[in-house]
Amino acid sequence: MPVTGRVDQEVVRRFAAGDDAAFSEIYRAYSGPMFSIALRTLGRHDTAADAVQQAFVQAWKASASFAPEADVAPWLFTITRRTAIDLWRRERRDVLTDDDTLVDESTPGPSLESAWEAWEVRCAVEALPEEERAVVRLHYDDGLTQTETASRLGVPVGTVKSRSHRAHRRLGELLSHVGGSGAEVAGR
Amino acid sequence: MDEWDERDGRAGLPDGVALVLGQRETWAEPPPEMEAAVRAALLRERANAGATSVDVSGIALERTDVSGGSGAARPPDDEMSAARDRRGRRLGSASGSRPNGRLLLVAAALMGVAAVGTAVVILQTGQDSTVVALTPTELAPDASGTAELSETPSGFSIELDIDGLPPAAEGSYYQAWLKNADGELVTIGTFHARDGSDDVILWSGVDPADYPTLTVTLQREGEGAQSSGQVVLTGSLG
Repeated sequence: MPVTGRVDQEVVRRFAAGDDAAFSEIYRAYSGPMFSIALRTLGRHDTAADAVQQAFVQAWKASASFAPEADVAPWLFTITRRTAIDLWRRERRDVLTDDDTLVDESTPGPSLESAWEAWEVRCAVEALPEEERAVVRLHYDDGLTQTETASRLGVPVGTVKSRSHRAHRRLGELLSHVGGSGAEVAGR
Repeated sequence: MDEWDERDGRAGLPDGVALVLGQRETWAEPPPEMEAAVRAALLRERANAGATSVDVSGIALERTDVSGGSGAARPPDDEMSAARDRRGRRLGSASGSRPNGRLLLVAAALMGVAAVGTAVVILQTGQDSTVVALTPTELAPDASGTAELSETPSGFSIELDIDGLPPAAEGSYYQAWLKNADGELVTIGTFHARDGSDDVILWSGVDPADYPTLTVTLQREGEGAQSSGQVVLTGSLG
């Protein structure tokens, strides 16, 4: 389940050399969590996408000096978060008046760790069997009640309840290593 | 929502996970055009950095000086930048300067592109037209093609040369659009591609320099004039 290790250093080396297959591999593996990190920091889809774009450029610039022993995911996520924070500060500067310029040097959004954990939660949901994943998504993402979920899926409410129970139990198992910073994520 | 709290097993979740599940960011998907934007940014960056070859989008580009003129003396990256500059001037102003020679960038592997997304790839900048690559979305992953943009006294002609796009089923059709930075769409025509033709000529009354994103959507008859949002091909003219 952890994202770490999906792409090895050799791929980064090829990415540095301009290999498109390497870029595609990195994009497939990490663009989702990178977008999630940027979105949690910036709060807007369009600027989050801009941040990811800039982060990839920064990553490419830095990729030649990527440490062979380093992990790809935290390296990329750190770049993404820094880029998103830079964007956030730049946008704030644009709207601040001269009198406001000393306001708020704080860092926006959740910590990298909590953003990472949030992404692991998402990966765990994706790993659920389809019928359980549908119940979880309709509940949490679409905000449907059990009755509405049953109606949407065309199954009895009892089936929704049992699928929900199994899904949550499975999520608990998949995410047993996660915990602690979720509340921080929620507290944004 | 309270009914979910009964016997749904969430009590077994680690601390904070249920809260994370309830956040919209957890479910957010990167916009489909983001990959294209990233590829384009990398392409620009590599071109600016003086890379000796440009294959960010999986397209091996090689230069061929068709005219045999002096253009071959210019470094490759300058040519890419210069091609963009010329195109920008041409699109922005009909009276802008034109290139002396014709610079042709051949996409040797264009038809083999498997990537999903848009690449800002100028394949050819000539006296009369600019050709850019079109790349598919997940809705038509086997599709590929080019868009040739030409300015005429009547407006802008945009000729699509498409491969691998399935014919639109009866009751549906494809519609092409240009989009500006604010997301405003201007349609430039419709087609169905049912008779095996892979060339589609579209017309735009707005300047592609101001509406630089080209998209092709799959539409259903009877569902109104607005975009369905089902994008099958995209390309960037900017």
